[in-house]
Amino acid sequence: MGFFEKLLEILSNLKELKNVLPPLNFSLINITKNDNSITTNDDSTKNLSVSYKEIQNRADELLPLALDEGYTFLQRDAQELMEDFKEKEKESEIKEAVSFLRGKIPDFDINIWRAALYLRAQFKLGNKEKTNFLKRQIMEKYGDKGRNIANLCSANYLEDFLIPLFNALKENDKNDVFNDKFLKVYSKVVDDLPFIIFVNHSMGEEEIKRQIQIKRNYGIKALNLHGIGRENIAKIKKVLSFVEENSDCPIKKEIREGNEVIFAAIRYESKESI
Amino acid sequence: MQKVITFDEDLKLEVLRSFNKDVDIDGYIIEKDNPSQKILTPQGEPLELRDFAGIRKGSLIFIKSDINSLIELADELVG
Repeated sequence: MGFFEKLLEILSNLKELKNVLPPLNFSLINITKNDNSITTNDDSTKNLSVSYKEIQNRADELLPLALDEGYTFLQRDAQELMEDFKEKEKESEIKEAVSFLRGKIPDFDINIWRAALYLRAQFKLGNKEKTNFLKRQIMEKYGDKGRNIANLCSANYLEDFLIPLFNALKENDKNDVFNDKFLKVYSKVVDDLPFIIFVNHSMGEEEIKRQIQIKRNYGIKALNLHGIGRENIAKIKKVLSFVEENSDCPIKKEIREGNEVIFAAIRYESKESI
Repeated sequence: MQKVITFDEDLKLEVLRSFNKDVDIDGYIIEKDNPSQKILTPQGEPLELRDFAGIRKGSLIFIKSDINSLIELADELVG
């Protein structure tokens, strides 16, 4: 007797299950702490909610049997997160981004970008709590690289920088080495953020100034600063004023601000170009 | 159709016990018959109960609840 037949046998008191034939009648089977097993219809799908109380005496036999038959056990929140991810990944914006990245960047990075694109979708929906925990998970698993990719993706560097860069390299390349050139720049950007600073809540003004100076020491002539939230916006504005007053060469700056998000660009100009 | 059985958050331990696993004093999932042996994720990491998301076939593969583990699972379930 298979898993589903055994389950039906245990739940034989449920009148909704009298005419159910295994194994494809339910889109979702959930084991619940609730007292009663029930069936529900959800749009076109039929779900079975099995009370753990009703199966607990035979759980040691029933659950391993289901696993043997190829069922995966998944905690309900994790299942919902996975299904939501799959739905979002069908949307054209994410689909096109992932399709662009495949084959151009290391395979290892692809799933970091997929998670980051999902994170961005949640950010756009205003799901602050979910955005925070997804970012934390990406950073925990992939460290600085995960943090950088999540930030780059959220600030649209894929669409505004990496894709145009790839297209420009492809168009201007006569020796068919544009993939290598792209990969070199891509790796530098995601590993080191050479011209970008993402200001977070743990960075004070002095740390932002220090990071600007480090990038200046490498000869960077254009810098982008990003920040989210009132506190980070205020810090960036203060640092920009400081940079303007203390720069050893003329600078041009551009600030775009809205909805508690700031983008600030600094362009250092040579003294001769005044 | 995906063959997935979900379970409520507060049944994590019961599900694990059905597979002869338990949780040690530090919150790590262990072999019930050999409590000094922590179970590992496919990446070789010990798994805490709070990060446990599920189990799939392949002897026993323990799934972590972070988004990247779930992306990998989504790919495997489709593939």
